[in-house]
Amino acid sequence: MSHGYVAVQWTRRKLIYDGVLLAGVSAYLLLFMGISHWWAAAANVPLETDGEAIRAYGSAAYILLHLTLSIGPLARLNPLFHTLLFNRRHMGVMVFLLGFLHVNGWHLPKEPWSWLGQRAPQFPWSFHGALNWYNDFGNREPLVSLFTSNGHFNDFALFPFELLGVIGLAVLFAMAATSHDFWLTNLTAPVWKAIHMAVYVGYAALVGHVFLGALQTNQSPWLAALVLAGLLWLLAIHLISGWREWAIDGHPLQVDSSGWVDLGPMDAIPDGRAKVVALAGERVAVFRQGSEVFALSNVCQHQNGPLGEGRVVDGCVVCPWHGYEYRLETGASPPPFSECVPTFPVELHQGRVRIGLPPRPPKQA
Amino acid sequence: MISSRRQTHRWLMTALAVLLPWLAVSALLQRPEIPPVTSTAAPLFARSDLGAAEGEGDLLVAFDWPVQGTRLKGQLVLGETLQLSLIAEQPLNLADPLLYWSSTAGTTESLAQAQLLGSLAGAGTHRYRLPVVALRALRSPQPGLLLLVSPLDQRIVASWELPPFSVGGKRS
Repeated sequence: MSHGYVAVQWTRRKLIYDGVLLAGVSAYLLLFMGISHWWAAAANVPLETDGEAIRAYGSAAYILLHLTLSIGPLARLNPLFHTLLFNRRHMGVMVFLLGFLHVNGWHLPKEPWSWLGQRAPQFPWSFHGALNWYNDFGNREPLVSLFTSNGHFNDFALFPFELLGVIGLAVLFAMAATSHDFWLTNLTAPVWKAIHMAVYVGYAALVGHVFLGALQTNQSPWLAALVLAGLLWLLAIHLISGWREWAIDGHPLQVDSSGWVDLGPMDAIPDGRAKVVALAGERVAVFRQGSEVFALSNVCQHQNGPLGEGRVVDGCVVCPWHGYEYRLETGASPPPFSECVPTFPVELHQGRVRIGLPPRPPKQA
Repeated sequence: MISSRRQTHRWLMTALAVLLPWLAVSALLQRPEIPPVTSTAAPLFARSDLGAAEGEGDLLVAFDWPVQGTRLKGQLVLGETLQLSLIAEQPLNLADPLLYWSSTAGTTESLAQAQLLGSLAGAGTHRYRLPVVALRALRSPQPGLLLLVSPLDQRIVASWELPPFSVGGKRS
């Protein structure tokens, strides 16, 4: 929780998460390049190693972007996926890094080495990224060439798909640069979430980049089917989870003239869990603990996670996204933490649960 | 997420669910049977100031150039500029093949003086604008050669001697 923030709060769980992520990405890159070399040797064709590395990093970024964007809706559909969600931002940063390497390669800039009359040192795994590999044959600067060489905007087959990649990478950069809790705290969660929703615009640009780029020259039906399946999968799970949420948001409860809302019998709320309802434009999580009932805002103060899907531990609800805790009675985080959420008055009336409006303002413990 | 963000997300995804499949299917359905020249070609044309070749004008020469088991169908067209078009039936078995024009013999030493026309990567039609010096050479007894070069090792893979022609005449 945010008892002040430090640069990175590493925990064993985060290290395992990032270790698995790094190992998975490394294995993919090594497999891609290893199989390419093996295939080229078997077919006795020269291998364009830079182009192969560009494709390896680009495809890794594209696949990882799909995985990253799948976690949110999967967690909405099944709580098992919550465990992937807590460190999803590192996956997003990894997508940007892979995309950056796809464009730039493992290549140090010429300066300041050229000022000393030296050549920039080369990494053993060095390769030219797409920017230099496809735009550095002549006298124009590669970036100028990238933006000016292709003007076929009205032709699908020749469309300057590289520009769509530039848009996608720019969005991913903005996401990665603002991914730290520093920005989350200072921008506030609603603003931060709104900014990070631009990732879908970036995703759309990258889909265009792939369909109008790689899939125009590589005409393997399997590759096209795979990329199309990835797109349809992502759209389907987002739509399904989104419209399932609508089932709650689209039917807000009505407040009676006394300012109370009837939620139904207490038995309808599972013990130790919550029932989530829409009320007065936002969601309320109504928790049952034995014979007691508590109602508090469903919106976690950290990243606006769904508190109503969290577990109750020692009288505190634990946000399923990142583990932020709030006391059921007060809505305040236990000391030394300072987050708090609004709570609602609750009464039991003839075995039925009723919550009242207006909510009590959030207050620190 | 708060309610308003959920609503934005829902409408955004609905819009993308319409737009992206349309884009994807259109891009797949409209792609030509023979892949277009890769994006490496356009920057090469631009770098060499040989871009925007349209292939309009009088046909001067048509020729077949067998290279690496495939056939390059070539045409020299004289319009406002001298243009060369090459149609590759299949992609050449060569990484990033480059096409040069040389006024002298096709030796590795002469490559330094040869003029880069552009990339010959991928199957399909490739168009190049030839430099003025090539037009003058074509009218002379030594019209020069087309050189197919592997940039990886600066090796001349194949060459094709252009036939001389006189202005107004056609050869094939």
